[in-house]
Amino acid sequence: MTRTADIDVGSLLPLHALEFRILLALVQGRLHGYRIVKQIEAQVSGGRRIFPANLYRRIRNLVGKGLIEEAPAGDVDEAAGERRRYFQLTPTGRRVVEAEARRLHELLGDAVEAGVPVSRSNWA
Amino acid sequence: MKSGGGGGGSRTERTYRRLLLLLPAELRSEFGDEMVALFRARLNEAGGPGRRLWVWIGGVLDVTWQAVVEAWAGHRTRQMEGTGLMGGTLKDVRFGLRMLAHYPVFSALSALTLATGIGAVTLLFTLVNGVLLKGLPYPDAGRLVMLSELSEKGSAMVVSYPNLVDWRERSRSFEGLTAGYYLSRPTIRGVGDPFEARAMGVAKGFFRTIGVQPWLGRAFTDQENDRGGPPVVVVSHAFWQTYLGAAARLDDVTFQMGSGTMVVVGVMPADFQFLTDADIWFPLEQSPIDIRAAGNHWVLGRLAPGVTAAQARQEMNSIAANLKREYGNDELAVGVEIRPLRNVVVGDAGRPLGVLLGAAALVLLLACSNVAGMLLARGKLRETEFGMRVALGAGRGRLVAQLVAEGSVLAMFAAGGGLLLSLAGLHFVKLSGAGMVPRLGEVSIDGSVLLFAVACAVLTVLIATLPPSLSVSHGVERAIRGGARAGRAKSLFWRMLVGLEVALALMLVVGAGLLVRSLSAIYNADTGYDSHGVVTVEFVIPGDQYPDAPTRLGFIERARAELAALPGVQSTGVGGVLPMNPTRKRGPVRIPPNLDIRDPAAWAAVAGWRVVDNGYFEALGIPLTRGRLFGPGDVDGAPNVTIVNASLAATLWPDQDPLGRTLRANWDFRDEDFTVVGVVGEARRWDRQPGRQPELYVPYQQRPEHADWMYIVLRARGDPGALINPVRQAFKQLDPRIYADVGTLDADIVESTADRRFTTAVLGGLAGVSLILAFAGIFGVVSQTVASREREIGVRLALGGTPSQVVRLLGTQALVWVGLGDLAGILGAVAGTRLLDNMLFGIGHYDMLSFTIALGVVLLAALLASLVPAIRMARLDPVTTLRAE
Repeated sequence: MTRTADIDVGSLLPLHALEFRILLALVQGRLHGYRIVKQIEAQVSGGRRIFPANLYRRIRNLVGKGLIEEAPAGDVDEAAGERRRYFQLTPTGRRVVEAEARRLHELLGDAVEAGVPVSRSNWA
Repeated sequence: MKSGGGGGGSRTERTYRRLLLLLPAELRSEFGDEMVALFRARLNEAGGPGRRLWVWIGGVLDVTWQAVVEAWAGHRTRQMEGTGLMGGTLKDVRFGLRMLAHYPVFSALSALTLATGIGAVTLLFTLVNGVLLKGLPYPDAGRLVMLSELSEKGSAMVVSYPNLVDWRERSRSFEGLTAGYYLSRPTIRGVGDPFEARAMGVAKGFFRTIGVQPWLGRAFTDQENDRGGPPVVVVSHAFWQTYLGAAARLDDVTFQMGSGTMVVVGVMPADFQFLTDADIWFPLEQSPIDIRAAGNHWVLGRLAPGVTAAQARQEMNSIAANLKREYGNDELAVGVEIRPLRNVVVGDAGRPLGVLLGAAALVLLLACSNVAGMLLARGKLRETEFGMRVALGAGRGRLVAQLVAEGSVLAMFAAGGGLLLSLAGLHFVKLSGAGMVPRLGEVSIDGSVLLFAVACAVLTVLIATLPPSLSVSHGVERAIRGGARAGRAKSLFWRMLVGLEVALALMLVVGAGLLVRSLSAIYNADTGYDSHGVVTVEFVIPGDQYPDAPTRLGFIERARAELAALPGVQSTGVGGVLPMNPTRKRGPVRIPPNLDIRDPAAWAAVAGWRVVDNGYFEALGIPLTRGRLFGPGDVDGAPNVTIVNASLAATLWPDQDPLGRTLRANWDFRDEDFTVVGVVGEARRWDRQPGRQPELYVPYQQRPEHADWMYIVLRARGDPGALINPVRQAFKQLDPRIYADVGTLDADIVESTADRRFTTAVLGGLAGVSLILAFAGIFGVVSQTVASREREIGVRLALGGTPSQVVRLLGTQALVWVGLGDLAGILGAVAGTRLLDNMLFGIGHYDMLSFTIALGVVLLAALLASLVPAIRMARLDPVTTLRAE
């Protein structure tokens, strides 16, 4: 996959909610599938469970779009003794997640201006 | 921490991997392993079986849904890119997915129909597999056998303790020989409210022989399991969790059982049970019963390596013969019976489960023929489409391949849906079926069952797609010419389908009807007593708090008086055994002149020994036919009196007056004479023939040593159910340390028919499903045939035919086949219901009422299903119809 940094980030927005969540989970560093799921479920309280086929179809899409890539797993410890595949953000992916966050932020600002009550407690 | 469950990971993975076949290969090969790993992690964190079920359901839905989404996305991509469609099975499958998406209602209906059939078969196969086919959950279980004594008459008897000891010493065939009591129900105190537990005494080497050791702590040692041993017990995992707070260390974990304080030394693995579900295993050799003629143990042996059951039987028979020579009349056994443990455990469950599996297979057949009909009908609609394709150069083989692929995809969906249905069904069966089916706790859907479901699905595809494929390849030319008409052969096929569906549904409905009638016959059987409106209170008087006869009798009388004073109680009585338990406390009865207790030839009869009061007869409605009831003077020390039932009187003194005669009962440990003062009617268990439950009654005040495990029976003035709570409360106030099991007698009787109710419920469910399927199938087929004759009907109506004539014409033709199907169904039912033989009660298997009602129900359904489309057609405006031509 040889996507360059000059890709039109705007054309990839808005992101699908789950794909955005996956990117968010990877902002802090590389993770494997189960960790990604746990991270997302920890962030989204009361959210629906994420099942394997759904997750990996999304991961495949993100890899296809050049937003994430497989990470070299050489130095990653794995207690279970089984090698898992790790994923990390590409530079493009980082730019896309930032752009999406900005977009959502602006959207939120518009909502507040329009008088929609927005407080932490009714975010789900 | 070790864990009893949670195994079978690799099998789980294989199952899930098969499921992933639904996904496009590209996604699967790239991330399949990861998905499996994630799914496994999901399962592991789920914990209990209920949560695992939800993970499974979520997983199946997830994969199915993603497969649909992928197929749809692929379809759109290719449309945009203009890629060709043909070539390769995978493409056919993708194509099939898309075709199914084009006809969502049709696809959903046929998938649901197939799923019902597959689900039914998978569920029943799971039960059969788990209960009958799978090995027992003990290591090397094939070597485990059960031993019983064989009497002179050749019947198997429970084993006495002295025989066990001798067998153990003298036999060489066994690696281990152990024994146990059947369940007792001691009252447990010291861990919350008193309650009744299920306890099983076991002999030395029980855990060793069976090959399962406690999961926590240890088993009791042979030294502990000996006279004078300490009060130690091993408890079940559930008991440990529920009552012992899942204590991680067993030091000083104790509770009160009966009158002693028990020390818990071990906890068995979560899934361990043997013969009957027990909470507590205690060492029985601390106080064994040393009477050679008194059998009360089951005996379990583990055959030594290389020894067959036949060799062991030979050795044991010669040992038994020697023992008989040595001990003469003291020894009742003349031989030893050896049966594989599996046969003992599974018992009589094989027949009903087999019948149910057969019934489920009929439902699957019905579902298949239904879907075949639907595919055929739709094949007709699509003939033009296929005709065009063939004309444009697609080979006919290609077309058939596509249809088969479409069917395969359908079958995959159906298999997934069937799996879900069977999982849900199994969950339900486990919740409601406890005690009705042996080994239910061990049953779980696993790889082999899923494989079976997939096999069912593939078979279904073959059955369901073959006729439509052939019909399409025949129909191409006609299709191209346009306006295809049903050929004679095809309409014959459809009519036969109607007949087949009627026949299958009728067989199942007849079977269900027979079982329902049997149950109702049981509940209304003439038992010689009146069970309706009776509340029973069962309790065990603890020996430590009521050590002697006066305190025990005092408590019973106080309890009876207290309960009699409750509003709504009409009468009360006291008894040691209820009529429903004919075999409890049953033993030989002797009459003069031969009163030698050790001589089997002296047994004039074998009868139930019941300690009761007069109120017992009144509350249960057992009539006094001769002589008198007990008097206030019939107490301990006064002359012994007894009342016999008519059946015992007829056995002991046929055609003679029983009053004033004397008898002795082996259950009377004092071995004294009793004088017969009265005769009462025979109160029987529902499955006993009249005259087959001889019993004798003794005033409980005269034999207080038997008044420890007692019942108080209350006849209610109104609804007996309303008395249960007040009775429980009143009893608790009397002595909070005693657990009282309160219920209605009718509920107890229902309880005793648990296995029948299970069979009836499942067969009833299958019959209901079959009716719905048959209705839908007939409706579809008749609609289809009627629609294909639209033009003819239009002409008839235009030429002056009345709608009722049209209905009659169309209806008669459909009903001819319904009638033929009924005939076939009755023949099939007559043959099939023979299998139900030992499940029937009170009716023959050609029970007219069951057959008539079933016939009526099926006819009505078929009539509705065929007349509705006919009437709709007859209402058509002939002008519109003809113009459309």
